[in-house]
Amino acid sequence: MDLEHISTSHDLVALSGNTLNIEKNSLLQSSLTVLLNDNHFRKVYFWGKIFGLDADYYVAFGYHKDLLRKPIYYYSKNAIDWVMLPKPTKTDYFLCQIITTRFMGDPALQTNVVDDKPTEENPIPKEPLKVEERNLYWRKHPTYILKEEDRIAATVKLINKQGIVVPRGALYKQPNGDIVHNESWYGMNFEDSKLLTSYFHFRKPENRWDDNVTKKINYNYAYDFMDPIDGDIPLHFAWSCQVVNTNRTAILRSLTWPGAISYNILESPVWGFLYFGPAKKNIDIPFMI
Amino acid sequence: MAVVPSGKNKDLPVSAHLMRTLSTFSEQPPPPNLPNAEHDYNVAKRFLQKMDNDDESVWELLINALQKVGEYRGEVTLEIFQKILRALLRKSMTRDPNLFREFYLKSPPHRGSLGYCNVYRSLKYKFDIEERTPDPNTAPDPLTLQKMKLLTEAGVGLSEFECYNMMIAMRKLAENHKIAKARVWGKIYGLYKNYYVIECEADKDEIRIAQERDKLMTQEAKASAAAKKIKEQQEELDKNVDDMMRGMKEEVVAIKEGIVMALAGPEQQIQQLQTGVVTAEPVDPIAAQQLLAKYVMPPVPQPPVFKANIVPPETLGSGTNIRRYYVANDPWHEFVLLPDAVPAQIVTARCISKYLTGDLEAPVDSYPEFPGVEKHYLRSQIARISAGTIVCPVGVYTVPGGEEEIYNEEDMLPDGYLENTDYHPPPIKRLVDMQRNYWMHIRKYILPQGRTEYWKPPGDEGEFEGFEDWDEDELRGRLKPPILSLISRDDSPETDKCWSLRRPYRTTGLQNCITARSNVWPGAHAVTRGFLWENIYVGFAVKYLAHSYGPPPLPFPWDEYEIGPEIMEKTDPTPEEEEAWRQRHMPPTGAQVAPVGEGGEGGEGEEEDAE
Repeated sequence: MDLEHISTSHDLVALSGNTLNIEKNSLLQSSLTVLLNDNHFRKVYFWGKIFGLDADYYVAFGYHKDLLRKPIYYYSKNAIDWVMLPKPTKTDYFLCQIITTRFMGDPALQTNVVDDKPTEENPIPKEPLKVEERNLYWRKHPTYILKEEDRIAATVKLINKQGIVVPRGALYKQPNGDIVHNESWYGMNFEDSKLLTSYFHFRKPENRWDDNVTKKINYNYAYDFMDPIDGDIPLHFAWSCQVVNTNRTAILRSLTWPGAISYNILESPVWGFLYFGPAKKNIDIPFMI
Repeated sequence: MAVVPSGKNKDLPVSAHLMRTLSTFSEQPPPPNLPNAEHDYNVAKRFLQKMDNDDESVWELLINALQKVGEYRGEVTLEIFQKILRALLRKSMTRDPNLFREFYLKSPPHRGSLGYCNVYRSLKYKFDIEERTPDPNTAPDPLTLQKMKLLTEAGVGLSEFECYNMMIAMRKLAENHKIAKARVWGKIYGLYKNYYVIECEADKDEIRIAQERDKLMTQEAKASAAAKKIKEQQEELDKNVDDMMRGMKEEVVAIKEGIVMALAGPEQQIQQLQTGVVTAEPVDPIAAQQLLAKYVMPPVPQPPVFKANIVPPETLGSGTNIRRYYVANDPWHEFVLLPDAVPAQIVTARCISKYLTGDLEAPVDSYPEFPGVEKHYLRSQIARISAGTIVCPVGVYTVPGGEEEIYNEEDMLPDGYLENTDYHPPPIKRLVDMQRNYWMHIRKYILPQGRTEYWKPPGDEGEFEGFEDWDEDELRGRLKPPILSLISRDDSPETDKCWSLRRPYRTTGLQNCITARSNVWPGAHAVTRGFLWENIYVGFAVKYLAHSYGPPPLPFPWDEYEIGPEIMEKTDPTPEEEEAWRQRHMPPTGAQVAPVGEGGEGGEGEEEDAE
């Protein structure tokens, strides 16, 4: 959610089932503005809240030049003091997907992810035998300890990659290649908002650029460089797309990461995304549809 | 704007290039070498009237500009003319709203807004200046809006718009139906639409009727009625199977005939050899049938008969059916009553994990098969979530303790406890305590059987007195926590802590509110501030599973045949053994007549069914 919209969009936050009360609103608005000025960001966004068992984390990010390539993430436990998130390693990405415990609320907490550690009798082979095994980074550098701070960083990146979308046209590629938000975009119309082809993944494009561009009839190089979400698996069931609030607000819920929502007030430049939840990936969708 | 043609001027200097461009517009080219003023004017006008992408032309702009110049009072200088042009351009740059939709289609929000307007209008409630506090048994909770606001402050809940509309919807529901103590239960997300759920208690007359009906039906009758229902379903299934089997039966007959023919042939040959008479008659079918009768076929396997113990549902006004639930996709839609909770559905719902779609009649495709459609599944999930997550601060309700304590039978709530008239909210320090000893469950625990009260199956001979043998009770799913048990007793294999307690406000003092968030059912919250307390559920109605969902394993496949010597695996006879068998079974030649059918009984791997 854009910093500029925080004070006016109580009802948009409520779409996620959670709300920010007047105190949290004030704190976020002030502290994020300070964050923006201190770091000379071009824009700052409130990303969401990760529920821990003992405490919650607020997450925000800002960018200087490029929104997709170089966003800088911060987390905070009290919504005032923001701490920069570390850059997650490959091991962190791997471990944060197999960990089964919840976030506790202590950034310094170190969790042992894998219980069946290698023993003297069954050491991990130095030279992996199979190709698949070789791909596992941690086989070479076995680490089983995951720090909660790293876990937040890796989880946030994963949620961005899989669970968060932006409407088509809301992000814009400048001639020099920088991806910034589009100031002159004025929202989707009702018909487009129901199509999954008009939403893009909030990530650096992973598909071939010509694949993405040629999917549209009225393509535009400045918009259509991003990956559309209509091909996500399971097909048609990776997202729940609704137009709520008497057909005024388009809202897209991710089923892979329950708790992630992306919204756009139709025909208005107000768009954004939020995450409120325990940061648990739902891999049971095939059973649940 | 470089070319401002004035067609009237005969000596218009038109360059050859422009002339070529213009000539493309004219239908009748002018005679060469002859100036034609009218034609030139028309051509130039059409050129200027050419529309660009935004349906605007230079001609229109100029006309407007000249009109403004005409209207302008004072001398029109170049500067002023530029100002006029700039103003016109700015006007043309503004985005026109969707013209087509405005005139020919209703705007998308129209339908919903009309629905809300109708709901507001159809309310019978009229403000009376002398109105007293409404009767809580008929009107919805008068503190609804306050409670919803409390929830919103605590960081959970609906938007303010939704809160108000749910309040109106409850009021309307109370006017049209006989309901008591309505409250907003929550909101459940579906794939295509969401459900807004209103919880209320059924009318007392309805409960009495249901109880009378229940008394009339003995336990056995209840069980048999339920069994009958299942049987009917089974018959319907069987009918489908029969249709399928019909084709197979014909096939079986054909196979049988084939066997007869095949068997009749060699028998005849043996007869011919034995008697020496060659008969060329065709096979007599009746004789062949008799021949076949010699061979005893194994009996057709039958499925084992199951004794289905259908657990009867609890009557309206008790157990899981104390409360009724009304749902709608939008607050302005007509609220629909959900069916009562049935143990079989609750038990199955515990084994599956499904997203709701938003359509009450949608089928629930799952394994194990869910007995019902989505509305039954929704009702079961609501029952499970309520039983697990509806909590309140300690002391709001009390259980009458001891025999001496006198209480009015009327005050007893259907859940089996009394409202504490002497309630004082526990101190905030205690409410956020890590021990979680100051919150209690107020809904009955649902046993593994799917009921809140244990139902003894008719075949169960053992006398159940309750809490005599704890281990056995727990094993058989008869043990349940006492009512109003504390949330610190909750236990789940999925999370370390079932509840997270939070202070939504860091700064305010005594009026601080406390939130209890369930970690087992993400989205279930309880909030209290002072004497107010409220619960809500906003989520997907899916339980939190730390290790992800795994469907129950498939049952073992049934044996097609009884295991016996006929289908046991044996080693094939060697060529020598076969030759020996053939020698023994040769028809008698000459004086030495070997009796036919004298097989070796030594069992040297010989075929046993050889006659």
